[in-house]
Amino acid sequence: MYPQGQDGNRHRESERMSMLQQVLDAREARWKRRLSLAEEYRRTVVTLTLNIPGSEKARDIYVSAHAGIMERFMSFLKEKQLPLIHLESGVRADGPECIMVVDVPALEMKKESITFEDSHPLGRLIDSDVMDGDGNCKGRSDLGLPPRKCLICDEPARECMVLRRHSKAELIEKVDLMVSAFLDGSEDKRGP
Amino acid sequence: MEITKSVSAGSLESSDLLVTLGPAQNGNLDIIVESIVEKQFGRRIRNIAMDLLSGNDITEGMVRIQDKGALECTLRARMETAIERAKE
Repeated sequence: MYPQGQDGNRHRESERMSMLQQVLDAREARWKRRLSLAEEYRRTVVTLTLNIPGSEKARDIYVSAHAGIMERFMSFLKEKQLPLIHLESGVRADGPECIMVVDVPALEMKKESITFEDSHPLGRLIDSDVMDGDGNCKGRSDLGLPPRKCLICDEPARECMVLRRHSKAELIEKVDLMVSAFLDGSEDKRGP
Repeated sequence: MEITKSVSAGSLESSDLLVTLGPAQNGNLDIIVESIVEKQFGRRIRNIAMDLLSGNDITEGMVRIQDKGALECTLRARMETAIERAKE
């Protein structure tokens, strides 16, 4: 093989940038969709996405895991008698997503979402964002809760992310292990 | 060049940021940074934003950056999109 010259590097660089741009475009589109749903319904908007490191956020195993999580989330809403008004889902460049409108006060919904995350084997990968009918986000800090911890160490996840404390490969390996274990487990349950 | 219209780029989802550009209030270039990692990165965010603005010859305007823990590549991409939209 010929060694790759500067053009090859430049090509890879521009490919990487366009993948980032696709992820960012998807995130911005979802953000606008959330705001417009909040305005339309004047109710709490919940999104359920996955925290997947790296640029390949829409791989089949993640889509399957997200579908499994959504199935449980639907049962959770029913059990807790939290009324669901609107539901839409899809897979974009930044991974599988689901946007819901619920007839539950935003702060209460955030609390319930955290209960759900904590009860799920993939809880640390689940991102449930809650927005009130005026478009304001409700986070863990609004409930007096500490920020989420990193998947690898016990430091706040955001710090590790911004400081890049762990390699992308290490993070992806950890996430894939968790996701595979979850998918294997749900297959076993479907058996005879 | 001065910013004459209000535009935004990004989101307030985690690991992202929302950049809002608007007309200057007093002929200055003001940059407001609100970040969840302000202590560690506030100055760095401001410097990168300043570089990108001056690289695009923007000398007057109001810039607000609401950061939810975005990586530097995200900051740069969101700033560039916002600047493009302001120039349209």
